[in-house]
Amino acid sequence: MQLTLEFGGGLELLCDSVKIHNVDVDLPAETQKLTMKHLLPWVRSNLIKERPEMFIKGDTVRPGVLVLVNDCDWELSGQLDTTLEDKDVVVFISTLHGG
Amino acid sequence: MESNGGVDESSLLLRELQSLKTSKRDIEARISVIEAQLQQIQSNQKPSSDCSNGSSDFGHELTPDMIYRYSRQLLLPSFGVQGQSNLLKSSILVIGAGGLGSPALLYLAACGVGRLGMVDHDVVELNNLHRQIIHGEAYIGRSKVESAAAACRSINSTVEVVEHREALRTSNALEIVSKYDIVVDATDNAPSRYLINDCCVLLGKPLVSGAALGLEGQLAVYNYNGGPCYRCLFPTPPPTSACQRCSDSGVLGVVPGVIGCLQALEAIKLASLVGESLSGRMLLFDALSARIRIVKIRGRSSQCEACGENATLTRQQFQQFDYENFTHSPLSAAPLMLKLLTPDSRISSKEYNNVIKNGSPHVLVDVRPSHHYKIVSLPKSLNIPLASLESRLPELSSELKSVQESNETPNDSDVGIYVVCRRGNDSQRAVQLLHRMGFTSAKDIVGGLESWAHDVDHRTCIIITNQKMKMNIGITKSSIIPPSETIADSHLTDLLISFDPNVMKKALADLLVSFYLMAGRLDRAESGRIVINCNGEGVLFVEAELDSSLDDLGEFTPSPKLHRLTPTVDCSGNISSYPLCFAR
Repeated sequence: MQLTLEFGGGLELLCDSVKIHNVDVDLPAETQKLTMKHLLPWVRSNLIKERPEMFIKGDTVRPGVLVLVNDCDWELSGQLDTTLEDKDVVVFISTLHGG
Repeated sequence: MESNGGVDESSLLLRELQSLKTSKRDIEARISVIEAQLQQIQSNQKPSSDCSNGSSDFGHELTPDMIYRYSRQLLLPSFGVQGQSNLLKSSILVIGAGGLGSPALLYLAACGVGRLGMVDHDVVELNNLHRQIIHGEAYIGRSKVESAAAACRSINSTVEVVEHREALRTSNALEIVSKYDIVVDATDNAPSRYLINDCCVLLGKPLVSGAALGLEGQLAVYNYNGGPCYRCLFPTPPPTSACQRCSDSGVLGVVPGVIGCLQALEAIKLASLVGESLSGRMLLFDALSARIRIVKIRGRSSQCEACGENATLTRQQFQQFDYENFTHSPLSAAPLMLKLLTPDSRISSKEYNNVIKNGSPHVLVDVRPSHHYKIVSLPKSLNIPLASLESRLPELSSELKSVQESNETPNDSDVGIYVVCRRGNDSQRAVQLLHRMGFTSAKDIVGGLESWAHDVDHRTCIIITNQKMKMNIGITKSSIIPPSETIADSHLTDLLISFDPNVMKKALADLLVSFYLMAGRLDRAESGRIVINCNGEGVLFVEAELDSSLDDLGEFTPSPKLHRLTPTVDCSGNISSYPLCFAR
């Protein structure tokens, strides 16, 4: 499945400072349906190059990371249960505190 | 200021010019205030003959001056007289007069908010000016709020500007925030953001929250019209390692400028009751790729500890809540000082200086990111950023080998490994890693390059942050003189009033290269003798060289408040907690 994954707010530093990744993710064999629950470990092992604890905590993202699926907070689409479609855009953004 | 020979005439003239320009600006600001007040009085006294007999005829409270001043925004159909009238009746509090607060305050003052409050405890520093555009060079060393208030008044003397020269804390937040209709969060740290959010929830104030770092910015309106609060979105604070600061990660000046302008815009919309606010949405700004994205965020959370259905947050709890402990980071952005290593794995910058002087064979590894290394570095250092240290260990091994061969030492364990970074935190992490990888002799330099610049080489230019001093001071000699007698407390006023700033300035100019800094307060004993009040600790006499002009020391205006006479220098010793004065 073709997805566009974007990292911002400093999270791009964990993936060689590349912000936008056009990726092809295989569907899980058992369900044939890709959810965020499947995508997070995929990102962790395929894109995150350093300090994975700055991205993942437990089975979800660490506190302070907003996840947006097609420009919409993933809380509104079911968080980890959000089902992804082909060509979806998933943004991971770390909240900023500077000023 | 390197030359020792006499006073350069042109530099004296330049200094006088600078001082005259500052006075001129102050006088002009005062003239504009008086003119505005006069116009106000005149327009109230005599009814204008041609166009109106007072504003009430038009069914609004705008005076002819206001109509003229705000005419360009009154012409907007979607804003108009009603929007302006609402704005004039509103009060807005901007917390933080820094990169975000600067443009926000300027626009809010210009557009005609009724009452504009500002909170900040900090002073203006030279390294603020690239982004904190409300402040100018003349205000370096002075309160940010004082500087910002003067700028706002000079733009619009009809706005009531309220100065809060203090940090926002749980003890004062409720009282300050309750006086305003709308709050703009323009702070720079995580605990302040939670503190301000909770305070706004308790008092029912809408919150315009902005943040910027590096080349990115974020903006949202919280606690407005049934929308979420900051805690709904971020119930758990992020780890401290994810809370980067502008002083560490850098920020392009215009980025907080853009976000600060947008904060002013959102606050103006809320105050004038026009348009659709950014509540329930978040604006994400990426300057480098020129992208602005507006995303939909979750609504108010029923589980939220601040604003949820079962939220139990009370004013009393708020006042007792420890936000620094909650977010594990300080309210004021003080640099972190880790202690990961035992003392025998660390050396001071002075000790490292001896290593160089003695010609002991060693390798110095600088573990800062390469873009930091390019700004300034120590000679013969090897740059391997911490993130890539593990994979680039062969480079260290080959460097050790070549040092060993050129010094003809029998084995490479005789070659020392020293690790340096900016402040001495990453260097400790690096040494831990090196120890694990078998480089057991590795040591780090305590305090990093900042300590090197402070204690050893004063010509090393360090981008100093969180230190109030902007110039390099080369300390050549220092000694502590213990107090000879204790004296009763007395007042400084008479001493300082008799002090002529021009004489002081000239005297300092005469000293030029080497002069004495002493940490302590000038005081007068009951006998009338001038003494130095050093709190019983003695006086630190320091002979030092400066690399910048005396104008950087701030204006020498006579004042009973000593800190306004002097630059705020942090000498990082106990005694330096006192204001510093200059004497021969």
